[in-house]
Amino acid sequence: MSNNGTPPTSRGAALAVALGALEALALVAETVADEWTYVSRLTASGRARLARAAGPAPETPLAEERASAVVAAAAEAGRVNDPHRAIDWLSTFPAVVELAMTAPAGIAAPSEGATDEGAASRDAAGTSPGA
Amino acid sequence: MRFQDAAPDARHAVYAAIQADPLVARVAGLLAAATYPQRLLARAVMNGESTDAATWRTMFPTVLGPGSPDRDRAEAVLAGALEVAARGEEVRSQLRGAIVESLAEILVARRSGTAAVRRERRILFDGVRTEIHPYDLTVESPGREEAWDCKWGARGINDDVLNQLDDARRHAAAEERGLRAGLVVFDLRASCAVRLAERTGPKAGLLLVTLESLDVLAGMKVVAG
Repeated sequence: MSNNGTPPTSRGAALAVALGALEALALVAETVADEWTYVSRLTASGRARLARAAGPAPETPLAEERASAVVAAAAEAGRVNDPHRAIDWLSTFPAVVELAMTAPAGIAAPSEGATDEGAASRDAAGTSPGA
Repeated sequence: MRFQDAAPDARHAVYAAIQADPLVARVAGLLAAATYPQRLLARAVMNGESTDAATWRTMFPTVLGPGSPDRDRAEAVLAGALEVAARGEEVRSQLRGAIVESLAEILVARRSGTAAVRRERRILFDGVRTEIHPYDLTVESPGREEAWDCKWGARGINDDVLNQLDDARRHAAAEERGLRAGLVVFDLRASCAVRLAERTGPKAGLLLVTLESLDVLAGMKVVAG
């Protein structure tokens, strides 16, 4: 939500809402001391994903239903008080916002290559068990 | 290399009851036919705080909004996920794990056939001490064996799991057998990458299937939009 309580009307304003929610989630999540590094890196990854979702032109208008979706996702993130659940939400939240901001209505797909599934091992990357 | 049922223990008995919950089969069945956005919806709801459908419909306009294709399935996914979320925290967590395993089983069975896919099995190798923990899912077709561990979230990826999967692969290779070993994680690929990067366990040769690419378990190519 923007400062005056209305949904954001531009992609840049929506990004600001989402980034605020992400940082708040991180504050809750980082209280799990053993996971501080993971939370820190996950937050950085989330920031980058949100920025990509917002695109290079922050002044670009954002449709009302998409803006409302971002606000709703940010509000849901704000309801998370449990640090362990917050860690899970840190992972999920950027993708939910990405979907809201970038997906064609009903035909949504992740912006990151879904076929490139090998996250850490290039040996495994893209290796389909059905191949 | 041979497969064996895990010895029943107290954990097994509790978990069997969770796996037998009809909600597990219903949600897993829905997710097996779902799209990436519908699966993301399920993950968000099952991990969320809100239990009213309207909140989620606002949050997912491209999945649940007017004109969204396959909207009936999306609504069914939402309803099932809300039922999971309505359970207490501990049961919710158990149900989520069971759903991921059941979903993986359904998808793998489409490729390998139902008879070849087993749950909670140990893998025995000549001269090697048997692992205590069974694999969540195995494919036991001769010459096409697989071992999978299933996780609700990237945070569940730990060095013990990586070592166990790697051990199985290496021991199989020592017997001149091929064994594909990997992780099925109902979480975003980027989060798994972050998690794996900080783990010191072996990753080479590990198969990783994430929320975006679950359909590869069924032998389907995943098309990025």
